[in-house]
Amino acid sequence: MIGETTAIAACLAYIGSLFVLAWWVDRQGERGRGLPANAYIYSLSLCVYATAWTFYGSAGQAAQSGVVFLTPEVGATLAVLLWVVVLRKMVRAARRHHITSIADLAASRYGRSALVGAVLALVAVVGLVPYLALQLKAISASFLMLTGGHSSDQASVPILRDTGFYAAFLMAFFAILFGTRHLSPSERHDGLVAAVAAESLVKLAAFLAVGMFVTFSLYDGPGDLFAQAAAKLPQYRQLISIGGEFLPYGRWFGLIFLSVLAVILLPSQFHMAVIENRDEHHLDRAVWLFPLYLLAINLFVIPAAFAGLMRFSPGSVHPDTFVLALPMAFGPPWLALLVFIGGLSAAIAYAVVTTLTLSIMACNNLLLPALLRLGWIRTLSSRQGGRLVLYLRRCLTLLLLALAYAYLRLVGSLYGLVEIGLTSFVAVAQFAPAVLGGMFWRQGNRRGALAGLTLGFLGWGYTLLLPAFVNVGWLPTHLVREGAFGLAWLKPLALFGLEGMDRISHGLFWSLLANAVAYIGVSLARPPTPAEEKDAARFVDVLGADWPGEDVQDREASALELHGLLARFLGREYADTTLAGFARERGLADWRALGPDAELVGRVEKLLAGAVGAPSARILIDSVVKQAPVSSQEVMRIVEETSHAIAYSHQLEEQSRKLAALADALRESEGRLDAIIDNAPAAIFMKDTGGRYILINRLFEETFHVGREAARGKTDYDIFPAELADGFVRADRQVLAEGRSLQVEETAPGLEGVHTYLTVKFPLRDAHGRIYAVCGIATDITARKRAEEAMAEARARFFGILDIAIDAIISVNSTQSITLFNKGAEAIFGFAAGEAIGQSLDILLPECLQAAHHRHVALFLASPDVTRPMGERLDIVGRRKDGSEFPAAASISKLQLGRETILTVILRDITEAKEAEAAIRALNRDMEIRADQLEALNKELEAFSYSVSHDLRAPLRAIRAFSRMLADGCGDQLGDDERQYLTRILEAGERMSHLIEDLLSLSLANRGEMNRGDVDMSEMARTVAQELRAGQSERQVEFIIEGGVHANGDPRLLRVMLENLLGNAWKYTGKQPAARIEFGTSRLADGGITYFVRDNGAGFDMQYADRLFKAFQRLHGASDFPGTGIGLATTQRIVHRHGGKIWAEGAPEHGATFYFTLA
Amino acid sequence: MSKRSLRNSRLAALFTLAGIALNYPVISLFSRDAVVFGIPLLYAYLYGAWAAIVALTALAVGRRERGGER
Repeated sequence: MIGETTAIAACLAYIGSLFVLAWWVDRQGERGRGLPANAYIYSLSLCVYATAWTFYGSAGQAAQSGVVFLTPEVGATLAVLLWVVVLRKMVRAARRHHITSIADLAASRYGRSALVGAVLALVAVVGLVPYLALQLKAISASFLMLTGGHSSDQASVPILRDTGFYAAFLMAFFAILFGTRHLSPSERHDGLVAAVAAESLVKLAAFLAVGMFVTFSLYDGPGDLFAQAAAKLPQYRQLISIGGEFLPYGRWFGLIFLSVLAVILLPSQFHMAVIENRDEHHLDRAVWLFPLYLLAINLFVIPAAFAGLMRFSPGSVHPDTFVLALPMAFGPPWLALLVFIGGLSAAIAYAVVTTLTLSIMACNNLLLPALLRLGWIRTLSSRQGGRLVLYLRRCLTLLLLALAYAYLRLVGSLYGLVEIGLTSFVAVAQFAPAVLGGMFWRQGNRRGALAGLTLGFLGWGYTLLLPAFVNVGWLPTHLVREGAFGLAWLKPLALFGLEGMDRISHGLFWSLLANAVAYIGVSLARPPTPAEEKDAARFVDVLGADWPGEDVQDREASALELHGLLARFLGREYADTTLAGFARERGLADWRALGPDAELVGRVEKLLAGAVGAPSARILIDSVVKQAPVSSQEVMRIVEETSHAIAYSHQLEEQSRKLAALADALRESEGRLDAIIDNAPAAIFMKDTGGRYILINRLFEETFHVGREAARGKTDYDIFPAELADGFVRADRQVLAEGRSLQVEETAPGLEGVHTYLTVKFPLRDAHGRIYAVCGIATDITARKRAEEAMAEARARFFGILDIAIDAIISVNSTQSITLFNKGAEAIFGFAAGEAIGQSLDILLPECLQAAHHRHVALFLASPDVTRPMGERLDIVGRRKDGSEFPAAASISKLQLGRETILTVILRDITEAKEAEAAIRALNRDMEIRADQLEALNKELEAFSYSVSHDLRAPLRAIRAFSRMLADGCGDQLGDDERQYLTRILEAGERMSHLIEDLLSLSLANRGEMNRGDVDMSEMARTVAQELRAGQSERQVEFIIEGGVHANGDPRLLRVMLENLLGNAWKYTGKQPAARIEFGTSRLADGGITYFVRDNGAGFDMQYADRLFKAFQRLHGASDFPGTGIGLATTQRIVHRHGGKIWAEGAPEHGATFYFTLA
Repeated sequence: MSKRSLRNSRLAALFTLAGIALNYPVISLFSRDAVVFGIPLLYAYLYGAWAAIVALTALAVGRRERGGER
């Protein structure tokens, strides 16, 4: 037990030292040596979160409900992990927009909406007054306990005797002193932060001290403590477990969720973490220092709770006061005092920060906008503007604490600390959709935020506040038991029949659900306006590089008026320096020279917003802005913006349509490309920069026997022999290095033998122009290659033939200039090919012939003939280089090649041939003359021999007749010798007569007319045979004569012929006892008829066959066979005259056969 | 990935892990009458997990921040 005086003294001393600390820090700040921006101080100041609720309430809750007391801390630990994302954004936005509180943040986010800020501020005030009351309750209760008073019935204590009243007063004093000393464009309070950080250290130290005392002094360490608890406490099992009816998992989860939201959204936390943040990087340290602090301060909660339960009889001491009661009952007085101071620290820190931020909120977002709208402030002089705001804030601070005290007196005693705190948390959680949604969700807008906040607040009021009021007795109990209007589904604690949840989780669920659904639903109900989109972007994209920046509007106000505004709210001095700074930036000496411009207005508005909040600043600025000239511009701007927006959306639609069409076209073109690539008659491939195949077409697959899946990722070395691959890769590298297309001839094994490809390789570039692949199109040119070779060979052969030709071969085109001139031509004309080609053909012609030649060539061109010998109409004469002329033989041919006609002349120098021809002609003339002479001579000879023979016959006849008469008449008168002579004369005469006869018949055969007619050769042969038989009837000769043989000839001559042949046969069979003579015909191989006469007489030697038909030639002696040797010659002459032939076959002593034909 | 987004990803992963570790059904595994070093299992687990999360958080953000401090 400690005396009241001691307690008050200690209390005042502690608070006094805090004042001093805060004051000193503020002084340092004013001197420009502000509190060093320190991550540890920042982290400790965040620990304002550990309020009196934590300090006292945790142990109380642990003693009553077990592990659930940890949920606010566990929630905080989880929330902290999201800080880096969420809080950083808020810090940046707060700095950019000079935001003063969480309500201001929401107002700024939703178009500087005064209404949103007002609703948020209202929710915050209504929701947090109970929590504030809770702190007062803690202070007064702990003070009463420390000094031995009774905490049970606060309501009965007179106000002036109530410690809670003084506590409230103390807090208001502290808050006013540090939070509302003066106005600044950034709501930062270095002294306050330092004090809060110090208090955090004190409360941690106090709690650790009492925890150690309990654990190690009252008990023998935690093991002992828990062992005893397990033994002594009947509820031990419940207190160390979770999940049963005692502590459902749902409540555990719900409370953690609630805490996560509260850590971010509690106005006090927001103020310390966001508004008082000096450096974004401090967040990174706070992220683990803050939960570490919470862990430390909670370490001994359970030991304290269990010790309290074991040491105090149930009901004698409220568990919420165990932390203080234990050292008081069992420990040294200083420890109890320390614990009291610690609790005081926790309560004061929280209460001061909360009242500060709530007053800022209520002032900037509730009161000021209302007052400004009502026009109450405008009438005040410039000096009073800033003061008025300060007074308002101070009044509000007092009012808030008064409300809290009132709540405490009226309601507080009936509820435990826990339920009060959690109810407040749920109220604060209503900010989540509007604030968190607003930071991350572009579509959230003002109407959505208002709807959500309103519905959420109503839900909170119905499910949590209303039952509290019923509990207090302000409202009838049937509202809770039966529901509003007696409707069961409207029961505040089981809304829509939802039962089985604890009160807090139930309220949280319904209120937040209604809030979120309304926020999202209403936000999405209408398309956002451009202004709303811009508002959203200013917050959602605040961390992005493309932050849209300040909204510079066409607002103008004179520097003087702006100065007046600044001076009114932030002080003349501040206004002077600030505007002077702006003027310096623009190179002006005096701020009064600043022209009215929009940027200046925007900057002043921000500074004002830092002091009085965004909506109020907007109203203030609007009051000095020149409206008239601006309004039409503004209207124009809005119209323009709207029409832009409409045009833009049309453009977007158009673009998306185009994009869709493009995508279709792209697909189509891809399909087309695939089809083209696959059906191309060339091997197509694509390789990446590392030489690995990306794509091959069908022909490639078929030609090189590799599938496209198999090829993908392979290199040339996997597909081709190394020496080929080397070449391919070299070409690829060249393409990659030069970045240009390249044409190469490559070889590769094909289906039959090596094929040659003409490959075009080119680089493929991406959208940035970087080469990412090499594409190749390889065309098989093997056939062309072979054709080229064949052509070259043909050319070589052609020119070879041309060159070895003796003749001149000359081609001219249709204009008759020379296009080809071979070696022969060179030799003949004496021109070199180089000289002649391109010249007119005229150089090869004598001048007198040129015109005629041209005419002939033109005629030939027009004629259908392909080739024609030249010189038919006139002789060809060529002219050599030296001008000499020569005769020539030439032909000309025409070759149609495409549209061109090529004339080719083949020409030969015929000088020598001409000469030889002349010689031959001369010779022939000689010969003809001689033949004529010979014929004449022959005729004469024949005439002579005929006439001789004819004329010889008469004398011979006389010789013979008279010789015969001499022999007949006087043969006996003569001597033997004489008779012998006479006989010889007779015989010689007869032989001579035969000779003459034969000669005559030979002449006859040569001479005279031929009278051809049908001759019966068989009949004629028979007649001759009979005559022969008659001449020598003693001989036995068999004649075999074929019947019916006819011939066309002269009968007289044929008769002579048959007489000769048959007579010949008769004669030479004379020594044959059984002679046989045949006459007949036989068929020749060519179908003609040959006649023959065959005998079996003496025959002849075939080697003399050529002499048979010569006149006076005989194969046998006249003694063997008499004859003149003229008969066969006559026969031959007759056959010849008939146009036939005669020949003989025979052998000595084996007869002979004579054949003849007649034409 | 920039350092910042790596760190943010780590913290998000840690948030997920912590959210699972400190909720049903994981904590139901520890809701039993047992002690670790004389401390009830549930408390030992909750404080242990909590400490581990704080340590991991410090590791995730820790080293980089020296430069930012003034």
